[in-house]
Amino acid sequence: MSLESNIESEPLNGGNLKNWLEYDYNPFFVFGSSGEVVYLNRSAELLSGYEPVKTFSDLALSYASIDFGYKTTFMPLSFGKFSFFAITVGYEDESHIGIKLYQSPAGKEPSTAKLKSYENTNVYVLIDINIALAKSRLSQTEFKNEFDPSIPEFRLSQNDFSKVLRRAYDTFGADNSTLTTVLKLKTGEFLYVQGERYPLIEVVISGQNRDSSDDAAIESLSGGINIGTHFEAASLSLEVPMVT
Amino acid sequence: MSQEFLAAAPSSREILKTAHLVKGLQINVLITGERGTGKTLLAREILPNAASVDGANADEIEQLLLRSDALIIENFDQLARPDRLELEGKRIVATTARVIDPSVIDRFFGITLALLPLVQRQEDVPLLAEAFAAEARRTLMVENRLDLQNVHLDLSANAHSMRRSIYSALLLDDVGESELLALMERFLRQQLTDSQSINIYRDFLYLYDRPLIEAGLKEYGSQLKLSSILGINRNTLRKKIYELGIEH
Repeated sequence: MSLESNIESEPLNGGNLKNWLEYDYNPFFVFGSSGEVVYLNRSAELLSGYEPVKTFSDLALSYASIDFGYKTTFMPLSFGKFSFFAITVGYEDESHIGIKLYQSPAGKEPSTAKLKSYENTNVYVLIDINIALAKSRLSQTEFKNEFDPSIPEFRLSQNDFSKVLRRAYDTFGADNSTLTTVLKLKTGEFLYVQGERYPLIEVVISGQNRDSSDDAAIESLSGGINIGTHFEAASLSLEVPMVT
Repeated sequence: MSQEFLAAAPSSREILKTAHLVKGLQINVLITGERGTGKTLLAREILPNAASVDGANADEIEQLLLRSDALIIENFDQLARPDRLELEGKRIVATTARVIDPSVIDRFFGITLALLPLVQRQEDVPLLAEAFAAEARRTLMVENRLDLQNVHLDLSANAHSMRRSIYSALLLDDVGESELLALMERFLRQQLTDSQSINIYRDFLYLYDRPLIEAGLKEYGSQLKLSSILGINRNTLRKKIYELGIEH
């Protein structure tokens, strides 16, 4: 009997155990004998947008218990905006292995009232202003913009978002020959606050080289206005909830 | 006084464009730059109707913020306890000629605009010179048009020293013989009372010789021609040029 059918056969108060896994906040993967994905829950699906699933099958194989069974290992892991403090790897036969990653607690949940108190904002103007300021600092850098033109006005703390953008552009120095800013809707991802669901837009700024020493400060500033951050060696992205 | 921020240099035009974009947004702006670079005028472009207050007057700032939604704070570096500033729902545009702690900037300001010194914005100089000359003509009530090409514009304190250069040049341009004699008399009277010399006539002869020879050299170019025009010996003229340290 496969692991999947095993789950489905277990009722829980008339419900289905699989749904508990499906909607778990913590990502859960089940891999087949050759590393193929047999099952992944919603949270794991999101995570796989940031990291190839092979990373998690390798992780499962590396941290599996010596014999059949379940083993929990505490270790800090981070992939994109996700960070984890532990994993549990389990297998009961040779053909399937599962891994669950435990997400580190996120910051305080924002209040809908606060989100709605922000000013109605044309996000293109705010980005244009900060690009103009970055241009005056980086006179030798070519700036490229790839903006999805369909983003409507939405509520945003203009002063704080401008601070985030300013510091984000400041992480790129004069050694970048081109700096590309992409503004797009993030399909299929939402910020859930007090039962309401807000679509996300993503601002990605990428160059050739970046100073990461300010990343923690940018992350903290962004977190204060419910903006998610993701940092790479030569790029960073900001996920902004579209509150209308 | 010129009431708008004049911009011809690329950096100034870019900053003015940004200031106009920011105008409609709820963003706190910090404007940095040396004295006389136009910080206050730029702040007015963003908040044309806001009250303006000096950073040294913390109590007044607090009072004004209670009554109004927007405020211009000049010399923000003079604000003793910026951490006490309560800006919830308020908007400020601040100026400073001095360096401000980055943590203070990060706490309040969504945007910083840095104005360059005028020597690095040469395209702005003729535009400002014209504006100051027009202003000086009105203020001093004189008609003559100044030939700005021949005015030495002192940019050491940016627009402040430049404005002074233009006022001085315009005043000098308007001085006639009687004003000149009155000015000389006033100057020499002071020198006579202060001087301990017993050779006062010779000591102050340079006040006549120097401008005469400098004007003559500019007009005629050669010492030979000038000596014949002035009716003095060529060697005497050469000696005077040397003694007066005139560069020729």
